Amino acid sequence: MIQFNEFSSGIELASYVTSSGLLCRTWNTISSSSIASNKGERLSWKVHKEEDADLKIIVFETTSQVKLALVSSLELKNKNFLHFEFLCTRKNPEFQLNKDAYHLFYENLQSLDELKSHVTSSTRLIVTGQGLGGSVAILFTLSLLDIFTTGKNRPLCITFGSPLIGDMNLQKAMSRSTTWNSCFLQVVSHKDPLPRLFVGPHATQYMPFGTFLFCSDESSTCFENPESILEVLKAMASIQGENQGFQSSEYGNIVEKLYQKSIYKDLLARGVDMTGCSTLQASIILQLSALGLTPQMQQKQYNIDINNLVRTIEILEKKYNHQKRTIFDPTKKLNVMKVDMVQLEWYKKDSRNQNIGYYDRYKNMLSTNKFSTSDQDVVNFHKNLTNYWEKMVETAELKPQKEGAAFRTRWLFAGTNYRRMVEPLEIANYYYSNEGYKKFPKSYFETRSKHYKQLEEWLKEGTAAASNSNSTGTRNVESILTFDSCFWAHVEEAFISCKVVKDVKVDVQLKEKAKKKLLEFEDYVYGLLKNYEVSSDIFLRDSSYMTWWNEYEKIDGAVSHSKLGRFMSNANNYNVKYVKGTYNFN
Amino acid sequence: MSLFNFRNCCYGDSKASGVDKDLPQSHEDSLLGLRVDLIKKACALAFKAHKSPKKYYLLEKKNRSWLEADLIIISFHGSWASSDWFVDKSYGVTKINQQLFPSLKSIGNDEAALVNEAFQLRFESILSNSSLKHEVKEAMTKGKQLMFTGHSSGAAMAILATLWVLEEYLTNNNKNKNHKLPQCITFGSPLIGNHIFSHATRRENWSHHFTHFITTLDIMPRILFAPFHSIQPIFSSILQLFNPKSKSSGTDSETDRVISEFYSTVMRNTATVTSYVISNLMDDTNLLLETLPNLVDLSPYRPFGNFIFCAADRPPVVVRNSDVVLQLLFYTARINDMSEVSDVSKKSIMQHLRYEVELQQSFEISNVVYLDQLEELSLAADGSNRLTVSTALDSFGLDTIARLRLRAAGEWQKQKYKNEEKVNREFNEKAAATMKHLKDYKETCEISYYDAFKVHKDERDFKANVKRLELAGVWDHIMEMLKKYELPDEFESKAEWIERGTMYRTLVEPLDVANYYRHFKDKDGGPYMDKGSRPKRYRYLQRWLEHAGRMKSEDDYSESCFWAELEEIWKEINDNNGSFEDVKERVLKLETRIKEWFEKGKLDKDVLFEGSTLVNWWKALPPNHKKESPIRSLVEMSQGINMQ
Repeated sequence: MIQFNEFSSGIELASYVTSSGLLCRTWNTISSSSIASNKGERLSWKVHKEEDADLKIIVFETTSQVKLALVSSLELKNKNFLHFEFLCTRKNPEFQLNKDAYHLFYENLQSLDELKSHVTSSTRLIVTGQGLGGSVAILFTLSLLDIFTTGKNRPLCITFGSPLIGDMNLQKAMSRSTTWNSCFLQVVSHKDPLPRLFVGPHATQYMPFGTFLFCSDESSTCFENPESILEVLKAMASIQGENQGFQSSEYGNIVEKLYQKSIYKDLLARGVDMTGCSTLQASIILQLSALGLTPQMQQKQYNIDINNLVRTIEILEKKYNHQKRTIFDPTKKLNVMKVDMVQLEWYKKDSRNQNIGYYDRYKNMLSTNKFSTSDQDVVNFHKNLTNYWEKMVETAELKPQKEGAAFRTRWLFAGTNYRRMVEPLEIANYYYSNEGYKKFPKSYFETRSKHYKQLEEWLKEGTAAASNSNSTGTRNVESILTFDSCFWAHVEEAFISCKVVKDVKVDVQLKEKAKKKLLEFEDYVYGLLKNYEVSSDIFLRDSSYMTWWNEYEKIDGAVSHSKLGRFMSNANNYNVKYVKGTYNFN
Repeated sequence: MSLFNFRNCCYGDSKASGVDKDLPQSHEDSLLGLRVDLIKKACALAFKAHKSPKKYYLLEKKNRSWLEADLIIISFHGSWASSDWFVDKSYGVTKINQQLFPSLKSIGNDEAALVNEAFQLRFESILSNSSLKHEVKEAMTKGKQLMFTGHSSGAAMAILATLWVLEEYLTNNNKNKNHKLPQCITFGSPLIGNHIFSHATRRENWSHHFTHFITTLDIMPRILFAPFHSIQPIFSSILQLFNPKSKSSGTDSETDRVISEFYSTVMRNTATVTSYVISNLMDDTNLLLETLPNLVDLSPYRPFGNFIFCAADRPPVVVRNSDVVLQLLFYTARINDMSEVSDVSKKSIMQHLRYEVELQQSFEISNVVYLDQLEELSLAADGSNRLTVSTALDSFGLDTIARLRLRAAGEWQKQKYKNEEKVNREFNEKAAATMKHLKDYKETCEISYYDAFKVHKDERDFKANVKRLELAGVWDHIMEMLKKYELPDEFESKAEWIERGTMYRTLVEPLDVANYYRHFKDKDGGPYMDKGSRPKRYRYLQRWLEHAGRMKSEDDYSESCFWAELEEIWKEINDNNGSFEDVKERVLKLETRIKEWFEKGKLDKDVLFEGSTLVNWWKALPPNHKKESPIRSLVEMSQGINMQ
């Protein structure tokens, strides 16, 4: 959706939450003394089941103190504590957690795992706690995230006045999945010093995630942009000063009051002149005044510039909204990409009509450096498709494991097709353009792009899951794409090996190695042929494969007795029998 | 002569409005095209109906001085039994009866509207037990004007009756020039359906048949925002307060407490629903909006039709945007603080019964306020984009937050039209020429169109494939927007789009089928017609056409994709060594339909060209069957022509 006018819906969201009674229900469970509590190491928890509402509430409580220190996820890994390991990716391999919260979790690990084993995705679940108890609730919920992959009945973690729990990398890890991020709601009173304990110049590493519901005595508002949340926490710190004797039990009164007040008329921003304000500015002014941060304050003794804060948050929100809306969505460009694939399909067919394989046509074009306009188009299709799929694979890689797996299955067909059609062009490009092999004579396999490897990996996973794929029997070898997308790289390498064998200047040892490689290649090709996995294009008269074969044949004694030699000895075998599926490979 | 002046109505029923010199022209005498004296009379009748709870409805058709000869007013009484309001589910909704109300659904998405089950049950019983059907038939045949009215749950009956008449008499199949459009005027109506109900009535252009009067504090239109269990213990006693025959006076302190509790519960749930909906309109990427609905059961009910907010001390305020109505339902009935709750909650009950008085007084104030173009609404409470609007909003106590919400609702509406414009532009710039290209391709194919594409031999076939994909891009984009309701409600019933869609589907879908079988996608994906294989765009477009013509749905296959069935039968016989007997019924069914499509001109003769899959397929059928085959003469004739 493209909105011409941006809004910030924090007030509306807060009103949705506070009027629903969800917070009251949760707090009542926290403060209830009638529910049996389980005692662990410095931590206790209780489980409450609302049978009629099909809802389970788990509460964590602790009287421990919390300090600034962080612990790295690498350290957890060294202790073989892998509950949060799924949050790490190759791109973002490490994050940090508050040490005290982590210790509480770790010391009670066995009991918590036991508790976790009773959680199923069939019951609705709220995990909650106040202060440091809330921090443990966050960790417990994090450890659950991998269970809840579908959108249905994912848990909601509600904390009351909890300190920040992790660093910027944790926040980044969480933002990989909107599903994950949407499981956290942190309620923060503007008077409570604990949530802003790790904010400011002394604690620059901490970063919030999830949605924050800030409340004053009068009203409440939500923020979800981590940077805006930090700004608000800072602003609160500067007007509220240090601890003013805030009691955590006040949250009970606060949520009850907000619940009562949800049907009252608002008094927010009365008398604030909003002429000339954009809708976004107006929304932000209202959000801040819901927390007692009004422009009138400037006249008072507080050392804070609200107008400045409005501007800062406006910029942050705009940036954040823009990011959210421009997330790469592969489905949007799918049809455009399909067109490029069809163009290449035509290129392949058209080449064949000219009695040349499309690999060789592309290769000849690169090595002679003669580009017709239609060739230039093919270069562009190649480029577009590669860009698209590189991004696409990266997106899939960043998704949480199970979500990513489902995603990969969905794209399996298109991805395989792409790889088999386009990678030969990439190989031609590598061996025959001026970057690549000519500069650094290494085999293609050493520089093969990661996304091709990933795509191949998906196919392996996918066919392992659905083993009934039709890998046997003859198929139309005239129209298929060669299964192994690296086939032509093998051919090029074999061609190089031929040269090595023939080169008089090369020493014997290298020659033997090259001969061995050639024998391996023979087996490889014969294997593909036997399974009808190679396009019959390779047998066209001037193809690289045929050129290689002609060279290879000349090396004395090389082929006379081999299986492939027998097959290649008669053109009728590959031009007719292979196509018809009548050659006897055994 | 029509009694209704649609002068103020922005929707296009010009036939119904006509030109009428005798009608009162000043807006003091008419409101939203309805004559004020008629509104008052309807109100009186709606209340009168309560007094005869044994009768299913009251019918006024006598030729009286205030009543034109061809007007019939039917009014329904309310019910004060809790079971007539809620069946025992959290919000008491059910899928609407698609036999009675086939239009009340989302067409492409193929999702039926939800309706209050108790109301629907009561209406079904009225329809089958009373003489309503008969009366309506007589009135419609004679070209009389029907007006349905009701107060409280009687209003729900009036709404369903009106919708039923619209479905029965005014959709394509039985449209008759002689028929007059029915009108529905309700007073203090509860909400009765969900967002699809609301969407479908707007799509069918029926909104303006429904004028809902509500007094600003009346609790009734808000009640169904509360889950039944939250009000169940007190609901029966609340209903008794409305019952004119009830003995309870409603003055003791226990009653006060019950009323306060009822009001607070209903209003808090109203706050939850309205905040949820507006959050979505303002920014649909909010994280909490993903998780919270799993934990908070939200009421599905939404307003539909035109609303007129009335109060004795202010002019009537007309609101046509349902999202705005929803927000106002919350904002017009808030309190300043706890001290007001007892007073306001009592009013919220009393006002439900004071329609005759409140309307009378409200109508005496001479200007009517139309709340439109809210996307330009000034945010400041003393803003002055239009004085009357501003005064009206001030008098409702609408603060800046509320104004922002109304603006968001207004912009959302405007955005839908912008989206349509964009889609239109894209279609004209790209799709039209591409369609032309494919049409030429089809006409110049030497063999059948389907087969030419399936063989895919020449460059022109590849070019056609590129065009196919370009069009898929355009239409897939439209389908995505429809799924998210980002296009105007009436989009799926616009003749222009249905025509474009049908042309596209019949021209291009054969290519999709050909492509599917050309690449052997059936080996992994199963038959083309299976769910998940046939692209959504074709399924949606077929439903558009079927709905527009109120046709029976061809769920299995239509003329644009019968090739798939052909391929599947072919496979069944050849690959799986099946016998003809196994597929005989399918063959016969397909042949019968092919014949029918030919007769209707839905298939072109190229499908019968020599060598086409259809002809080859038919030729391979057993001789005994071919003798009796419904398309024998068709095939033979076309082969004869080809041979000449």
